[in-house]
Amino acid sequence: MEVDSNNFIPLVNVALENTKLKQSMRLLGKSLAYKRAKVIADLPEFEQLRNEAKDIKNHTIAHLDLYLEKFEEQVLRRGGHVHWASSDDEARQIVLDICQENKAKRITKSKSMVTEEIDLVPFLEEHGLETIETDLGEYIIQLRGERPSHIIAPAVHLSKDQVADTFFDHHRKLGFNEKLNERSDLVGEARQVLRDKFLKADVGISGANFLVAETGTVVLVTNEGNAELTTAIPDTHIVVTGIEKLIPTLEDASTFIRLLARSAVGAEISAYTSFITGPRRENDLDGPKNFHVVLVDNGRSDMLGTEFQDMLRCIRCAACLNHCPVYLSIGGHAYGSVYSGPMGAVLTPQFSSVAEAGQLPNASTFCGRCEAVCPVHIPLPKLMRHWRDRESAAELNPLSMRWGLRVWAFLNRHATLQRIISNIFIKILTLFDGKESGYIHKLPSFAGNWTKGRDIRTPQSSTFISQWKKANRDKENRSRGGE
Amino acid sequence: MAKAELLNTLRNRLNVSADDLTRKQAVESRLSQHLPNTIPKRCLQSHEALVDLFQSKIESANATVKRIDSVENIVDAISDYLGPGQHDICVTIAHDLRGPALLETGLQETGFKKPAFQELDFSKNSELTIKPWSPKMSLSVCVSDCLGAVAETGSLVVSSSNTMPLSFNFLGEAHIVLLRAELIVGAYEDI
Repeated sequence: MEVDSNNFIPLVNVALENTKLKQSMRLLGKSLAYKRAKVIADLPEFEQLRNEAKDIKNHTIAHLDLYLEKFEEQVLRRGGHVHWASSDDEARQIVLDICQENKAKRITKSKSMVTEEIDLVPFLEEHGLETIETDLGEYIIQLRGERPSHIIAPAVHLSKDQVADTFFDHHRKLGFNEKLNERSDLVGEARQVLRDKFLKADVGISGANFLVAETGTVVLVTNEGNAELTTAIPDTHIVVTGIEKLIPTLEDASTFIRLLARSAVGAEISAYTSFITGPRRENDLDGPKNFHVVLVDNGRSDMLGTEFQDMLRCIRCAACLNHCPVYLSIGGHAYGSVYSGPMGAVLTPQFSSVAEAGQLPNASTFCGRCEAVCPVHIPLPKLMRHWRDRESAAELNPLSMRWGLRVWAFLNRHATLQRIISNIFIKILTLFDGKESGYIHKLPSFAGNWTKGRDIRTPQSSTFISQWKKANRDKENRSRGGE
Repeated sequence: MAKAELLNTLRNRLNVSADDLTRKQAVESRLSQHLPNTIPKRCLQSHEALVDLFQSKIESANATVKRIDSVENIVDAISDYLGPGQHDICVTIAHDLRGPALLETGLQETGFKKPAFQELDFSKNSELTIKPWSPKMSLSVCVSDCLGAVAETGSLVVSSSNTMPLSFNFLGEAHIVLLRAELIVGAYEDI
């Protein structure tokens, strides 16, 4: 997977200066978190469903080899084909081979994070295949030559005006000469452009939200209906998906459907949920004649049996992004990876390396909101901490950070010394609050980085333990005075 | 890469053997039992309450619902919804037989037969023109029936078949779905 995560800090600085991005992120944080809380309050069984979902995934992962075999058996039984890819290179080549065997020229594609992960679209276009993203957000960023900034809302970083400019620039050559201002008009124009692409496509590529082992069914969850047109109209449908998407039964799929949209967008269910089981049958009026599933490993099996195995439960709902104070401050592009936010901070080093993406797990306050909202109870802060350990063990983090952590650890093991030094720092910091306003607006030297973007609260006059001791002394003195 | 290589990698990581009968039995047992997981209480109500729940949920998703007493009134209801003027509509009835078959089990002896959707007479309304369906055509109004509906979230269930093209559900500007109230169930698992 191609990443630019070593540029995390410069990218963060760019993001923090972007006022339009700030507005978009503020809106995202408020709207989706609120909607999620509301829709979950309406479902008293939500916690029970979360626990069951965690158990289903744990059971499936523990028997992943057997469920993959069962899934393949069912797909083959219904006339489909299953391909196994260990790496992104292999997955891309398999898809290209299928397209070329079917003499495809035009491809429609619905949203799929695995295809982003393996950089599929640029690869197909390099080989002369016109590949159109049909999810509205993906279509917008494809026109702009950008990568997704959010795993379920890829164009969330853009304003309506930016989208209007993009459409005006790209659709003029198709005869759309008017610059539009209304959201509904923009959607209507995209629909007209995409309708033609749907009807002329030779191959449709989709991802999968879930793979049902008992029936060989691919479950797709969308809000625009684009995945259904992508998969139903062309003669060939290729599903590109990670091996961790397996679940045992259709009953289990119901459980995940109850969790996914609620966690992702604060809706009870998405507009469309499709269950695709093989190619079209003999007398069906439409549907693909050829049905292929590409099962992609690309680093997933490396998580098995390690401290990162819990991450294989992830259903890519983005609840952790929508509630992360870091993600909501900097957006997705700063992560330099298709996977951003807390889940991206765990997955990106796994799919690239700790040397390339070790900075991402450091971008967390460990407030724990990501873990609290995760529908499958992934302990994201703990997993990020494991990456920090690995980064530190490999001495990949800056020398100043390593020494800082050593000093901090030493002081935490020597309480008396820690209190003495804390009291000294408290006194020094208090000097910077000249007006005794309760806030320090500016600190010197490297500490100035902190106050550049925010004020710091002036510490109280001494540590908690000093105040506790003083209170006890005062109490004793009062008792003595009373005698 | 071969399937065998990936499966071997998984088994090595999981520290298990391909011949482990206990694991195989655990998977077969899980698949054969079809145990339902938690079903929300809202799905476990009287049928009348489920019909109301279905209507409120689907309306909250910006759909409109019109309840009709008799199949004979369907054509007029479609015409009313579309408003005055000429309308080209495409009609596909695929699942209708399931409804009467289920419903009339106890009524067959009495000779009662519920009118089927297939018997709808659109010719009586001169403003509606029936057009044949083609996968490449641009449709304005699609009329179809459905396999059933789920009250839990106000969801309609359709399936592809030799009379029901899948793309039919997505190509129209308006989609009118005929649903027998009796086919509304509580939870996804009930379909």
